[in-house]
Amino acid sequence: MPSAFVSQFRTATDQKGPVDWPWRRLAVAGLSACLALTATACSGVIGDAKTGSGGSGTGPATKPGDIPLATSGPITSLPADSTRFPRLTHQQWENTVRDLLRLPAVPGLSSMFVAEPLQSVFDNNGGVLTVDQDLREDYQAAAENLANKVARTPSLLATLAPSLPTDPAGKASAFIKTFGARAFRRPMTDAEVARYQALFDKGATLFGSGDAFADGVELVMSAFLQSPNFLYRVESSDNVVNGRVRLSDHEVAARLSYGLLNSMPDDALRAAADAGKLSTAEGVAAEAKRIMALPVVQQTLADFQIQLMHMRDFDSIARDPTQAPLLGQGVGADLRQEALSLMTDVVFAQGRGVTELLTAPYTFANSRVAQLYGQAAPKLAAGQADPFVKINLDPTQRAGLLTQMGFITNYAVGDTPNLILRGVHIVRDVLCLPLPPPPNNVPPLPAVTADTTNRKRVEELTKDSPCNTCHTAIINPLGFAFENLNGLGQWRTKESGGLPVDASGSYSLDGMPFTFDGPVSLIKTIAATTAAHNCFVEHMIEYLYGRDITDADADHNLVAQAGLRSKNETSIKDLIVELVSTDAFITRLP
Amino acid sequence: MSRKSFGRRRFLKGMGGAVLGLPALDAFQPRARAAATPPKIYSALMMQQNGSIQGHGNDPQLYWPTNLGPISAADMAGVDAGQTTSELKDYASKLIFLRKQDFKFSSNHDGGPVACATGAPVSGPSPRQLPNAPSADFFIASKMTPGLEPLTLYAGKKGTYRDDAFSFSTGGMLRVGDNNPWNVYQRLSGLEGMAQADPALLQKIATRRLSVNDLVRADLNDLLARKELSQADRNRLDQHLTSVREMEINMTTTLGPMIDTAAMQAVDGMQTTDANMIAVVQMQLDLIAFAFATDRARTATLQVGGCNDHTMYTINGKQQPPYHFISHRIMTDGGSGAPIADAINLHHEIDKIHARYFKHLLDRLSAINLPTGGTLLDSSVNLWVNSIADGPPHSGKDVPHTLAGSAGGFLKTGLHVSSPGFANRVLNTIITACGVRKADGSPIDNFGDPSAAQGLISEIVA
Repeated sequence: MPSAFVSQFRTATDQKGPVDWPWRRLAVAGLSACLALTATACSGVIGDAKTGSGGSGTGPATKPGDIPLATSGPITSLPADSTRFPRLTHQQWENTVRDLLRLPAVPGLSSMFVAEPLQSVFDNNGGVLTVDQDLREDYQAAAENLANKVARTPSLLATLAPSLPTDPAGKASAFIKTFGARAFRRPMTDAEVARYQALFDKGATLFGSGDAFADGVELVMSAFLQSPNFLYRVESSDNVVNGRVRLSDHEVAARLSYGLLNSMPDDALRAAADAGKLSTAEGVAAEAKRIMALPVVQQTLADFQIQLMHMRDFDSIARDPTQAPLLGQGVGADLRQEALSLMTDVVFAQGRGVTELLTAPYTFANSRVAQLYGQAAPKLAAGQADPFVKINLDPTQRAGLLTQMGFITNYAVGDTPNLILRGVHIVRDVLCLPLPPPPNNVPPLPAVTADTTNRKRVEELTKDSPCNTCHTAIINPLGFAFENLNGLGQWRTKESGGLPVDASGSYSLDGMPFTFDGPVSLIKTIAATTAAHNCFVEHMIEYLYGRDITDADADHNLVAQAGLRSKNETSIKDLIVELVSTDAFITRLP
Repeated sequence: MSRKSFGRRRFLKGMGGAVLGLPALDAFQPRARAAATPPKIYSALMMQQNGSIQGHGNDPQLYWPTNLGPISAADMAGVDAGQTTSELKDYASKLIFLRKQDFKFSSNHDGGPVACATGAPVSGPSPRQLPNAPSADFFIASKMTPGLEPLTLYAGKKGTYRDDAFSFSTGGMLRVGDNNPWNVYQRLSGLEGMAQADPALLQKIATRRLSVNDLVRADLNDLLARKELSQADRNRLDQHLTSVREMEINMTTTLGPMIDTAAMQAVDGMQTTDANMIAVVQMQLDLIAFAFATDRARTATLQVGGCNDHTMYTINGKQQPPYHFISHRIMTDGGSGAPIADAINLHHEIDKIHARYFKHLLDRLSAINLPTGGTLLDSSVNLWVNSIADGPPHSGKDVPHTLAGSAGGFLKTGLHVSSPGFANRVLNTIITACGVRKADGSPIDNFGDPSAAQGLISEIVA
């Protein structure tokens, strides 16, 4: 895509409004067939997309002063613009409070917080989150609630402060420094300690419970939980070397833990930060590998996949029970679990990468899902467990995530595929090709009839200008490839009226044209492209780094290198460790 | 310093769920009393989605009265009885119907909601276009009640195509509306539950919170003192600091409209279901009236539904398809789908539902008598607007705008006016009616549009 065209959809991360993001919500909003801009825009040139597609990540830097792109070994990278104050999301707040106060579970108090709209690609972009009056009061109420609970429950207080001096002044000071360092995710400054000490000393007077220590704890804990140093992941390092700021070990620890765990650094990570072990890429990689081995990381990856594949929409998948009894109410949870099981198996059990995710000729199914694939399901007694187990699929019909039941039936109406939305998802979320917003006055598709195919009616509606600019070359062919899978997820070679399905087409990625016939043919080609791997790592970066990808060369280079490694079969686990060990992750711009 | 009206939260569960009349509580004095000011003019803005059946294209004109000019209550009850706006017939003399208002800079499901209260240019990719300036509610509040922010509310599901897009603060930063009336009420209400408690205890609570507040403010100021902050980061921290700076104890309340706390608690956790949508909208409107009556806000917004509202209303005893499907006349968001039988009439019924929402607000406002005379409705100007003009075309032209309330006599009401031009003029009129003026004392005639002063709608200015 021409850079001038791309640039209108990208802004620097540091400006209000995020950069380009998946088209999914735009599609759901009902843009029917015609998606092209009326005037500028859709050039129809594929493979010249945002970040490095068409290139292999080799060769010299693109302009003087750039760093060379490494094709093997550690990724060479530079940081891009990012906020110094990413705010904790509500989920991160819950996890952090649980871990900070060493509670057995999340307290659930964020259900009282103002529900926030999605403002970015993923919901963990703290740079677009703010604190207004309502939320500030929500934080206050929650802080007071938790401080009261912890300070007045001896067992809870004891876990936070297991060994303190016995003299009141020393005890208070030690508590403030110890708890404060964990709450702020860094050691407190002397001025901060004095400030919180002064507040602590007011506790006995303001509470008057007779337990001066608990009074002081309740007061300062309430303050700690409302402090911006708790609510934001503050990055205050400012020592500029070669145009970059090296983050402190504690700031790196925070980025690492919120990227991989959606919570504050655990004790081991904090100890590594305290010992200065996160000042090198090797030290960061070692901690990243440790964290990636923790079972809880699977929840983080599941969250990533759910958002990327729009799997919350699966809850709306329900068909007429007389038409598709297996796709009744509640099937969405099973289809989501199917997709998550494949991801978990590929990433953690097999230690493999993106290509396997896209091309796996197997899936994971419970009894209902197995029947959807036409396989026998075991008879289960009431109350008997119904686990998701691996089943092999017809490799000529199924390949990976994009032919799973959830993806296929989500983009469909009844038994009719919504090939436009399927195509748009692949364009935007699998290939990261930008699409312009739709124009007004989009006419609806004509009704399905027996004398025409689904493909033909879409072709007919989108063949004229300005629709054809985007549809004919970019969107429609990708949707056509999936026409063998009807709206119920079943394989077909003929439509309901008896006309044969035509799932063939041609496309161009990485500057190379190719033809395909059916979904597996298309998917295998896509899985071998730089575009697809670059797109996946772009999303990984957005999620792990908690910010949108920018249009800066720094991000272009980062994506190109990581994408090359993904294309060369680097496992997703290893890719994640590499991405959080880069200079782009552990340094920042001034 | 203006008196902060947002008290701290009190969890009122255990109060028995009674309909709660607020007691007068004089245990505390406010930290500073508001200086004598001109009469207060309040403003509530309510935004509908998905367009209306007002005669665009092949649609019949089922929305407005037949005739322009003075609004006839008799006609609204008679020949125009079936029109959407006739749901407001009880307030005929207090209404202003405005035709031919066009959004200048943005439209459709993404840009239309932004245009409703900002009238400003937008930037950024769809569906997250943002304006470059604040919305009218925030602007009015910043000028007339510095430190007292607007009440920003929402009704319906979040996590949709685009959720909040109505209210914006400095620089066009999105303000997020709470969609849970129970949470909103707890945040708005003062320490009524502790009215009978020991005043000394109340004083300690207040002092604790002020002490913590002072420390949090100091932490924020430390961060703001850093030189390396970007403007965006500074704006975000400034917003946080503003919310902290203006917190003060509001220990005095006045008798306000009755709030059904039991009903709010009953929908808590289920406030986004289709079945509860109408009740929740009404509760949110009750809370707007409550906030006005108790001086906890001077301006307010309520966004009804996400930007392509998918609420499934029950009409004629049957749950209907999602509202957005109906607005497209087919059983999807526009991609493909079977035609919806009687879609136009269903859309018309939903228009009337929204008209009844607006009437609910007017009922509440007109029930509150002000110490200075008249009702809250008379001392307000309230807007019901749609984020797009019509169904399938999704146009930003001739967007329906309905005003209610004369703003203390600033406006001529009881009029059905066709005044072709940009909708910025409606916002200029509302802002000026609320008392905002330029530095030279002249009316605000250039809100949102940096290229040209659009002026006010002169036909309705008294």
